[in-house]
Amino acid sequence: MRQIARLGALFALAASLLTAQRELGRRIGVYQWSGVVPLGFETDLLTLAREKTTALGSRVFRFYLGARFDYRLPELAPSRFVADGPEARTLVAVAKLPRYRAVFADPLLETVIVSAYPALEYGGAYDDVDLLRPIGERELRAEREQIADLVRYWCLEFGDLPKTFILANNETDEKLMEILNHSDSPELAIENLVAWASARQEAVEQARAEFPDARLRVLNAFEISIVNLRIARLRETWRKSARGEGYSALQDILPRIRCDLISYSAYESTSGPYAGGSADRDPSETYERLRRDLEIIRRRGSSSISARGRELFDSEFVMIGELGFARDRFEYLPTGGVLPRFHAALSAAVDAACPYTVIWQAFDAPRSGSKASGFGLYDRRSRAPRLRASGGGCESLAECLELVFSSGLDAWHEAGFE
Amino acid sequence: MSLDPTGPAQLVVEAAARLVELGALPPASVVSPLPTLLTACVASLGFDGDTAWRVVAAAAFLAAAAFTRRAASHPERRLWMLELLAPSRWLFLFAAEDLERLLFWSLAAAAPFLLRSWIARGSLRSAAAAAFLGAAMLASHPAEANALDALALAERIATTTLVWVSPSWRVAASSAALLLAPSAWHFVLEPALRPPYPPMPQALIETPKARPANLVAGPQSLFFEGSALLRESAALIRSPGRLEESLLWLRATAAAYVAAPSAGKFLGQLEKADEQDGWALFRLPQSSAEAVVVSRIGGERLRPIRGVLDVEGVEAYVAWAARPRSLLLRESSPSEMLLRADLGPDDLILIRRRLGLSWSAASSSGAVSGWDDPLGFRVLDPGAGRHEIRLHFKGSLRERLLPRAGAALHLARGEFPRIQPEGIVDGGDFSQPPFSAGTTLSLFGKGFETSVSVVWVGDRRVEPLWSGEAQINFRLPNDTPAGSIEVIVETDGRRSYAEPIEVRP
Repeated sequence: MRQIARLGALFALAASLLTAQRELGRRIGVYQWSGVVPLGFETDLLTLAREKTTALGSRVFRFYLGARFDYRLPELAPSRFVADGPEARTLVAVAKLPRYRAVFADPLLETVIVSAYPALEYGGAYDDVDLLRPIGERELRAEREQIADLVRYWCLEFGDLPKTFILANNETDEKLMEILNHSDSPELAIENLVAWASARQEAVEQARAEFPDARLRVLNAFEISIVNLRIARLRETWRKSARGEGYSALQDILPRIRCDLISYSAYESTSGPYAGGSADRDPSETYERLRRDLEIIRRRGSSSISARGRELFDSEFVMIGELGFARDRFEYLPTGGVLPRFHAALSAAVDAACPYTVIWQAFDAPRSGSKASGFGLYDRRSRAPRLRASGGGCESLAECLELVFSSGLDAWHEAGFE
Repeated sequence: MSLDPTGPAQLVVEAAARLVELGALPPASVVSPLPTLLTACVASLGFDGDTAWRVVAAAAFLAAAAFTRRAASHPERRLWMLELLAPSRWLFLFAAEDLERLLFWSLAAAAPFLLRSWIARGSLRSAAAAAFLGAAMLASHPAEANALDALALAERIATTTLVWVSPSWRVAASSAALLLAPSAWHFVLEPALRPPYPPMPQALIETPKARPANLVAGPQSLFFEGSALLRESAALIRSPGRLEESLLWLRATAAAYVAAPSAGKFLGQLEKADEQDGWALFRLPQSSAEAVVVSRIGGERLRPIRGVLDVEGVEAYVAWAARPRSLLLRESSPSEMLLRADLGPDDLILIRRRLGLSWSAASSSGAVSGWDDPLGFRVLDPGAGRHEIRLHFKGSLRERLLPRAGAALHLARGEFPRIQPEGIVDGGDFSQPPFSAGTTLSLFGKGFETSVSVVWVGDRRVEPLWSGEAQINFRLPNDTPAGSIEVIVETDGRRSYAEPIEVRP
């Protein structure tokens, strides 16, 4: 009898460990933006990144769906999508291409987050809908129709699967800053982004309502990237400012729109520009800053969450859409390298019950000017770069994530840091 | 054997192609007209650029000897063969592949004899020949002198001494020694003339992946040689160091690829698209579109780029120019390009070509106004709406033959100091402005030099209390007026952009 009880206890322990592992694997995922295939690989970057992500044990994957790049050629390459045929123009047409469809159909992925950008033609090849000019009916129609068509395609094709597909945008604050630098008009920038974000939510709500019995959950996330900072005009250009005056998506756009959940691209919290301007801060501060900022977003964003979002997430409607540390900026800091900062940030995300946390990104982007580089779990040769860590523990971010997905976040912490 | 695509031959071949296509010469400060004209003439007979270059070079080489033989008076006539031995000529031909110098110094070989003939006979014919020779030398003279010119000059002195002055055996021996000894320099000069890596294979830049216009191929190119700033940026990109600045310039010029030594500074930083003989073609992770939509307001705020290391200036340019929205620029003939655009009210079109004044743009509604940006690329302002724009080359004969070189720019050497945005904080608690007059402030940035950098608060020069490479501490003068005031860091005469701060009343 005692033996049976022991076996039962062991079984329960194993089951709980497995559940914990599956739980984190279902909440923490990996992003892949543009780039080219690492040396020596024949496949496309999207497929390679998806396979790497699922091999780590993650069930969440995020990528870009639009006309700017095709995961085979560099961003805006003139011959992008040419090999895919003349139809590859709209969101649905791109989503149906085998390498994209394989992401939605992958049985190992439970949640797919798509940074989706409908396309129009403005004189060159097809490109994202232009938000730098006063938004017109042509742009809003493209946004509504292409997004609604994508949701319909998902529901028709994958409606019976118990998955979640989240449609998102990429950092509204970056787009806000881009429009301000292009037009110098805060009114134009805010009005455009409000109309654009509203059109996206309307399209998702309208299309998913047509499939009330679908097991597939289709949601729309609105992504922001600044919380305490503001976009202000400094030295003739609009930049992120810590001086408190200016504009932000959280302050000026979110209160005027609806969405199912809010996505936070968390560099402001994790890189620490707001807290003293220096990245060389104790990694434990990352935890505090991220918790603080997630709380601010929840407080300010709660009135913008749709009924569907409240039903699914209650008050935990803030996901982390991007979380990353550049190796060239953080790995050699005296206060600690990349791994302890990642651990602190993931702990904050887990403790704050973020429904999803997406790590930026699977593969390193090619270096560009003085921009921070080396965010990838894997470098340009598909190797997991070794990072500073104490002996016996994981020595790369990929290894550490594998450990987290198999044994939980505490197992990583126990290994300690240098 | 192909011409070295990293050498000056490439420039002549490109200039000759342009002359054949557009009937226009590049500015003489870029390539001398005579080599371009001769190469273009031969090319127009159906030869490719490289072959035309070789034909002209071989003709110049042999003509110098023939001309000396013809011009030399009887007793010295046998000495014309010395022209075939002149080391500089061989170096021009094979080591440097420098057609300008080969032509110039070949013509110079004839100068003493023509001059003597004119002095001796005083005939109109000999005067005309001397004048023609002078004009030809003017049309082929290189813009800058180098070590090979010194060698060629020494040879000229030696051969003139041998041929013109009746030589004693001592003079003959010493002159012959002077003439032949420099050939030994070849072994010294060769490494100096050649880069420390093997020449880039021609096939690498002829790959269909690369377009010459926006390919920084390591070789000289009309695209880069057209302005002093671009020429210096190309030199920076070719240099073994300054990786970040090189990548920034590659973004500014929207290069699609950069050809560089395989094991050089781009290794591990950029993707290799191709590799041959120690050289690689690295792919740049950016749009290389020749026409993009840019901001009108941003364009109005652009400032001149003050030097190749004016990083802040180049970054501001890149922020404006490196736009993702591209347009399709179709070249219907060498003298006509077509462009289709759907523009918003704040949009302009940037064409990443140094077109010069001889190109005009028009749409169905009339002429399209334009201006050149700090890099010399053309910006068009057709206004909001849908446009079909035609760019047309319509240079006058004078503009075709005597094109204007780019405006002379005074380019500062050395790194410019940069103040980090919002990088001026209270020295005590690192808080942001406003500050009280008399407060000690910390200024963060880059490119500062200890004991060299000074701070300007408005028009007041303030000596730093302490300065390092990335931080300067200084005291805000007690009598600084309340309100907004600009702070600048100056290092060796090079000034940062101004950073405004607020001062409390």
